[in-house]
Amino acid sequence: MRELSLYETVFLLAISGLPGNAYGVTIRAEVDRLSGRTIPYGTLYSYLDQLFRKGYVAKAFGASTSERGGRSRILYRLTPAGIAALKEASRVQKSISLGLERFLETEA
Amino acid sequence: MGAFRSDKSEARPPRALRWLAAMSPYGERFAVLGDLDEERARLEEKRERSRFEFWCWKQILRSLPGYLKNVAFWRIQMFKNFLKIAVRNLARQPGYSLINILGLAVGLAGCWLIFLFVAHETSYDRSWPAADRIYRVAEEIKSEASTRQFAGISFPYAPAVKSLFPAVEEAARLYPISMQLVEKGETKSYEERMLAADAEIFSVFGFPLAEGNPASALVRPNTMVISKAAAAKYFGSGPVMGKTLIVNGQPVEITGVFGRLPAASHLKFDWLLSMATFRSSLGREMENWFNTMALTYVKLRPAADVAGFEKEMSRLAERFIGERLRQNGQAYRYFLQPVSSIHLDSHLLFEQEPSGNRMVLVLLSAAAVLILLIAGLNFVSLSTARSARRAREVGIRKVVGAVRRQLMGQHLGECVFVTALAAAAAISLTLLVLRAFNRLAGTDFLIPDLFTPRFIGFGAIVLALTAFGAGIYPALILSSFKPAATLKGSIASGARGLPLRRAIVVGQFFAAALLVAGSLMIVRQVEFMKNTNLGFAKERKLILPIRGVPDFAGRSEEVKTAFLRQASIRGAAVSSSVPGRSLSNFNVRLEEKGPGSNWAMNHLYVDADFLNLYDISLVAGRAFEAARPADRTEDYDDLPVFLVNESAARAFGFGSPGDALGKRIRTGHGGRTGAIIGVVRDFHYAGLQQAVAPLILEWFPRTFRYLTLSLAPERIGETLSAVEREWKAQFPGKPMDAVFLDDDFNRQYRVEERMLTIVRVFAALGTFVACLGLFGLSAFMSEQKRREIGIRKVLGADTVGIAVKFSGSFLGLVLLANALAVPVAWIGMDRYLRGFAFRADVSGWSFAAAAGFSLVITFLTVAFQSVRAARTNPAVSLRNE
Repeated sequence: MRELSLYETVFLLAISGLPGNAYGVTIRAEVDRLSGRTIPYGTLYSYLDQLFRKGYVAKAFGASTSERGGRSRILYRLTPAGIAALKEASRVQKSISLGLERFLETEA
Repeated sequence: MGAFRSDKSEARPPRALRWLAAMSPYGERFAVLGDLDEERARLEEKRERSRFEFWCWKQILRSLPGYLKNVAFWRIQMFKNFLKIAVRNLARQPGYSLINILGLAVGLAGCWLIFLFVAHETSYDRSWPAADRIYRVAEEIKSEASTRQFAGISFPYAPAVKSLFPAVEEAARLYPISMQLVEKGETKSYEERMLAADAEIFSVFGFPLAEGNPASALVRPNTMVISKAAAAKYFGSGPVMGKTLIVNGQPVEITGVFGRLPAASHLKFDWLLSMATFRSSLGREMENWFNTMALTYVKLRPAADVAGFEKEMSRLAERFIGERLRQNGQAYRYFLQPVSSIHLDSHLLFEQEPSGNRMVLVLLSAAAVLILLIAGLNFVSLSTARSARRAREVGIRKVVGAVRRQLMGQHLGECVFVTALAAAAAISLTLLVLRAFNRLAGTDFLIPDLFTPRFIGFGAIVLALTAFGAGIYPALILSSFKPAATLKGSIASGARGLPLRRAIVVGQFFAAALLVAGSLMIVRQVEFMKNTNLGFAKERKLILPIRGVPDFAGRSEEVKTAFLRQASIRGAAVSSSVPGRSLSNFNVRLEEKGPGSNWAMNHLYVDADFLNLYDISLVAGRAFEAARPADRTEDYDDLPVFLVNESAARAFGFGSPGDALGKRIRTGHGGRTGAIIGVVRDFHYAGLQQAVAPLILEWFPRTFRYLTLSLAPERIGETLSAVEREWKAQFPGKPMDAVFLDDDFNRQYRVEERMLTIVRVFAALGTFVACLGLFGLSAFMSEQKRREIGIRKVLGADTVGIAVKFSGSFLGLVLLANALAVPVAWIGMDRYLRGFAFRADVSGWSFAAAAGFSLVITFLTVAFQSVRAARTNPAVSLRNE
C-alpha cells in the first residue's frame, strides 16, 4: 500500500469524522478546522476525486434539498482500504512523533 | 423565498459560479453548484448578497494554480499517449510511413529551392540604398518603318536632364567597354566586367568605397576604381591605391576600391574606369544626341512627381535636335525603368545581360505548388486508406470517453508530427542538393541564404498549411467513426473515401502530366532553336576576337594566309562581328527618298571570304569579290558598295530582291552613300527569339575585330594547338580567347536551357512523388483485395488476367487525368511559345508522349503490386475464412 500524503491523511480524517454527512461543504469546513487550510472549491473535488480513484473513499448521492437548488449532495465515506490506510498512517505518525520526542529529550 | 431562488439558479447560475464549477471534474460539477448554494445561504445570513459573487471570484483565483497543474498533468499524459501511438503507427507500417515522409520531404525541398530561386530573381536591384528612386532612362526610336527600344541612350542626355529638371537628384552614365586587356608585368588577361563610369555613379547607386574618395575617384582621365576581387587578382593582399595597371595599352591609376556589391543586380562590374579616360576616343560621340551607347541612370528626389517628370523628359531630345529628327522622320521618346524591374521585365536592345523571364518564374512557381500538392495529396490518400486500420483504436478511445474534438486534435497532431519529420528530412535533402541546384540554375546560393527570416516564416506557413490541409480530411473521417460499428468490425476497410482517393489520383496525375508535357514542349523549343537551319553554317567555326591590335585592318589578309597554311584550316574570314554577338546600328535611308525616311539598321562589316565561309547564299546580284578592289572601303572618303539582306530589301519597299540592285543607300556610319550590289538570304544572325532584322553588309577592313576559322572535322585537338601556335606568332604577347561559334551562339538560349533543366528535374520529381503515392495506394488496394483475388484464382482466373483487371482501374484514372491536362497544358505552352519569333508548334505528340509516359509508369507501378497479389497462393489468402 502506498503511503498517504499529508493532504490525503487530512481529507480521510475529515471524512471519517463526519459519518453520514461528509459532502463538499462539511468536508471543506472540517479540513479547515483540522489543518487550518481552506481549500478553494475549484480544487476541492479534484482531491476528492483522487481519493476516490485510489479506492480510499466511496461515493453516494445524498438527498437533494431546496437549499441546494434541488441538487443532490455527493456523500463520501471511507472504504475498508481507506480505513486501513488511515490506520497505517496513524502508526507511522505515532512512531515518528515517538522518535521525535526521544530526539528532543536527548538533545535537551 | 427558497423556491424563488432555486428557479433562478436552475435558469442559469452566474458566470463566476459556472466557471468555478467547471474547474471540478465533470461528474462532480452539479454537486459543486449545490455546495455553492449552501455557501451562499451561509454568507447571506451574515452579509449582503452582493458579497457572494466576489467570494466566488476569489475562490476561482485561489483555485487557479492547483487547477492548471492538474490540467497540464493530464494534457502531458494524453500527449505522451498520442506520441506513443503515432510512433507505433509509423513503425508498424514502415513502407507507408516512408512513402509519406519521403514524398512530402521531396515536395517540400523542391518547393523550397524553387522559391529560393524565385525570391532571388525578384530581388534584383532592390538592395541599393533608395533603390525605389533609381531609374534607368531608356529610349524608343520610332520612324515610319520601325520602332525600336534601346537600353542605352546618348551621352549628352544625362548632363542635360540633371541641369534642366529639379526632380533629378543625380544622374550618371555607364559606358560598356567590354573586354579589355589588362597587364601587370607578365600577368595579362582580358577583363570582362568593365565599364566606363561618371563619378556620380557612387551617389546614384549609393555604394561606398572601401578606399578612396567617391567624390574625386573617377574625375581625372586614366583613373579607375576596382573591386576587392580584381585588386586581389593583380596585387594579392598588398596595397593598391595609387598603383597602376596597363589597360588596353594605357597606364591607368587605381584611385579607389569597393567591396562586395549586391550579386542580384543587372549591372555586374569589377572595373570602373573614369569616363574622362574615353573622352578622346569617343570624341564627338560625347556630344552626339543620336547614338545609343550610354546606359543612363537617374536618382530622383524623394518627393519627386515621377509621372510628371517622365512626361517632361520623354521629349528632351527635341529641344536639342528637334529639327534634324523631323528631317529624318524620326521621333525619340525617353522613358523610365525602375531599376528593380530591369532584370525581369526589360528586354531592350543592348541589355547588359540576358534578362530574366517573369514567365519562367510563374511556370516554376506553378511547378512548385503542383509538386507540393501532389505530395500533400499522397498524404491524404494514404491516410484515408489507412484509416480503416485505425478504426478500432478510434472506437476504443471513444468508448473510454474521448470526444470528437480530441480525436481530431490527435490526428491533426499526428499529421503535424509527420510533417515535422518530413521537414527535417527536407532540410537535410535541401542542404545535400544545394550545390547541384546551384549548378543547375546558374545561381550562387549559400547555406545561410536558406535560413533567412523570410524563408523560415514562409516555410512555417507552408508546413502549417500542409499539415492542416493534408490532415483535416483524415481527421474528420477518423473521428466520425461510430464506436459500436468499428468494434463489431463492420466498417468495411478501404471502402471509405474511395471516391476521394480516386479523385486524388486523377489530381496528382493531372499535375504530373502538366509538368511532363511542359518539359517536353520546352525540350522541343530548345532543340528547335538549336537545330533549325539558321541560314548560315555554324559548325566547326572557331572565332578569334582580335583586341588591341591597331594594325590588324592592314594585316588581315596576311594573317588569314598565315593561318590557312595549316591544311586542317579550311577557310578564314574577318569581320566586325559574328552571328550571336552585338552589331553596330546606324540610320539608313534610300537616297532617292530623301531625308525623312530613316531606318535604324544593323551593320555587319565583312571581307570577301565571309559569305562563302559562313555559307550565306545570295538571292540577287553578286557578293564582294576579292578581285575587285573597288568593293572594298578603305576609308571614309571611298565610294562604298553594299549588300543587304532580304529583310532590309523589304524594309526599303522593294517587291522582289532584284529591284534593290543598283539602288543607292546612305548609311549613318560616316554619312556615306553607295549602291546595293547584292541581296543575301535572311540568316538568323541574332538567335531565334527575334525575327530577322534588316542588315547592311559592307567590306570595311577598318572595323574588323574578329577572325573566323573553319576547321576540318578530323583531329580538332591538334588543329587547335596549331591555331594557338600561329596566334602566338602573329600576335605576340596577346592572350588567345577562342570560342566555337555554335557554343557561343547557343549561349543565347541559356535562359531557356536553364529553365529546361529545372523544369525537367521538377517534372521528374513530381512524377516520382505521384508514383510513390500510387505505389502505396495500389499496395494497400491489393491487400484489401487479397480474398477477391484468391477466390478468382480458385475459380480459374490466371495471373495475367488478374493483373490486367487490377491495373485497369488505375490506368483509367491516369488516362482521365491526362485528358484533363491536355487543354490546360496546351494553353500554357501556347502562351510560353508566343515569346519566340520562331517556335516549334504546340504538338499533339508532346501530349501523347506525356500521356504514354505516365501510363507506362502507372502500369509498372501498379503491375508490380498486382502481379504480386495475383501470384499469392489462394490457399494462403483464403485460409482465415
